Amino acid sequence: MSSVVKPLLQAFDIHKSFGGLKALGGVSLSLEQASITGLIGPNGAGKTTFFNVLTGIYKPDAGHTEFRGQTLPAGLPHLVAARGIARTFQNIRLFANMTVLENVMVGRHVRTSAGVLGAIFKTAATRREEMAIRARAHELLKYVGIDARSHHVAGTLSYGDQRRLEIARALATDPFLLALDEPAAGMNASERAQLGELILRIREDGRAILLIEHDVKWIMRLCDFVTVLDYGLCIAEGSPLEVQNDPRVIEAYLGVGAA
Amino acid sequence: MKRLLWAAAALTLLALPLFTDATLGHGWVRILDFALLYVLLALGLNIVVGYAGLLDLGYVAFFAVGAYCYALLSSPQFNLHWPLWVLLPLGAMVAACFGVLLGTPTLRLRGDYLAIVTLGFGEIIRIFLNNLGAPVNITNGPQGVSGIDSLSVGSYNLGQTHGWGFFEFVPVVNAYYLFLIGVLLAIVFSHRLERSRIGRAWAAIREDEIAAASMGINTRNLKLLAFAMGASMGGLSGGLFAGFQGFVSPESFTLMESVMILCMVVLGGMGNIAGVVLGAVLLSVLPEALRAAGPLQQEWLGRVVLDPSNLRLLMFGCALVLMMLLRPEGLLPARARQRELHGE
Ligand SMILES: Nc1ncnc2c1ncn2[C@@H]1O[C@H](COP(=O)(O)OP(=O)(O)O)[C@@H](O)[C@H]1O
Ligand SMILES: [Mg+2]
Repeated sequence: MSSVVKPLLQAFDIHKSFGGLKALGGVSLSLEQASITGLIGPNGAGKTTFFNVLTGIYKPDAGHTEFRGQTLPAGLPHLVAARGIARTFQNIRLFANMTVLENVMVGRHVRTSAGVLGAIFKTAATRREEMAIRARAHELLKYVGIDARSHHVAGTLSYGDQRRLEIARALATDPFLLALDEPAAGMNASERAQLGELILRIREDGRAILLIEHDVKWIMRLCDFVTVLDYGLCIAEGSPLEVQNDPRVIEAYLGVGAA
Repeated sequence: MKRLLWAAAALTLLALPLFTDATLGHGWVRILDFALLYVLLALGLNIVVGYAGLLDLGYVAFFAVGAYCYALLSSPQFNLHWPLWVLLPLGAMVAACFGVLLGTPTLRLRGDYLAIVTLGFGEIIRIFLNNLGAPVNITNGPQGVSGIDSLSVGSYNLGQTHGWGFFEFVPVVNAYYLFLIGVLLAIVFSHRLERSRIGRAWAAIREDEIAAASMGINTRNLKLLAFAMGASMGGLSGGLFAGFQGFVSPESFTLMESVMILCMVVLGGMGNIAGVVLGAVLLSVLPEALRAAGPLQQEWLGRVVLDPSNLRLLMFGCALVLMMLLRPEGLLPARARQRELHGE
């Protein structure tokens, strides 16, 4: 393999302001195929805003993103999902009153096609598709380890399981890139370790992962690359080791002397 | 056992109008007919409100569109007399188009704002119907359209009495069976939609629109689809109404009707078909039963102390307040709604 494989995703000079507040002041980022990239930075650095721009929830004020050789549509989340980027949310956004299984089944929406007529007349094709959706949803629940809970109501799951469910739902869209916004927040050490294993497994399946996280040790162990944001600007990027020793990062984020 | 229950239910539904006609008279069968039309309306609104979670306070507009569609194409107004099997689907389709027309500008709105815009839309349709009598007479203005052809299936005119052996099928009984078919179809459609990929997408939008969009759901199209599907049932109900009454005028389509249909959905339990049917039947039949309160007071107290129509409103108000306090999710709530309002 040559070392000039085209990156999976390239964001070019993304700007986003809220009123007078510049949340992103020109962020560029590139992600490799089947890699785990950490996005770190202090609170309010603009990490979640970057996710929201990337996944089409916000329209950037300037800048664009290329994904698998094509420009991503700006501000159209359903098209971004169709292109193969799926995400989870910092403050979990499950369909809390639906069952665990239904949540994952919703994730299959974008890869299936049954319409009103198929539903009303219960055509053979629709029934087949519905069965495949269900089977795939169970498969994904097993994959993240919560299939035993498939008929529980999503909102009643433990915090850690809700995070897993969100990942299963995102995986149901068959993404090339999975963007996780603080998936380990609020987890204890053993849950964190399990989550780390899950993330590694997802990468082994050939998907790339973009990961926002605060626990620096955890992320340094897990990631292939790390990008550091501060005040809406990318202040460092590289391998975990490089970033860890970058004086700007130490000053801005880790605190002087922390590394 | 289950089959036996179904058979019993089917028999009851089939025998109900004949029995009612024989015991209580035509008037009560007519009340049942209207109950069925309301069930159809409530099921349609349930798709918009219950499934997709969009508030619609102008829903009666689609009923009006369906009714006028039928009225104009099957009456002396333009001297057109199209057959039922064309008019009913056409009315449903035209109403669906109006559903999309209403839906489009409201896509970005939620809650209160959505309620006000839809309310306005309902009124606009009514005002149009009221004023399209001149300079070119289309709707005949406030006088409405009369002389509408009665419902007839093939050569069977539902507006005439047919004797079949021992039984006598008067017009109100004939209409009951036609309306029942409409309602059963609407129930099957609703049920299947609810459990389909489309129904799940609606539920997802209702729960969390941003998460739904991020999972690849085209929220705009699915909301429009909900408006269109809901409106088509309203349009169907309107067509049946026009053919049944033989007369339509704008005053049948007031805001009060929209509110009433919404109350049926909310009282019964939005999102749940059985609940919605129950709500529609209760709210259309009970007020009629209360009419009897007038003569009863006369008989027992010597005079009418409480005017029945006031009594109706009073009971209605009390029922709603009680519901909101005790059972905000409705009489027969959908599982998901119950969780939303009470937690687990
Ligand atoms: N929708 C919004 N409206 C206004 N300000 C916002 C909005 N979203 C984020 N911000 C602001 O943008 C900055 C970056 O926020 P965010 O991207 O959430 O940071 P992070 O995820 O890195 O902690 C913060 O100052 C935040 O208050
Ligand atoms: Mg954040």
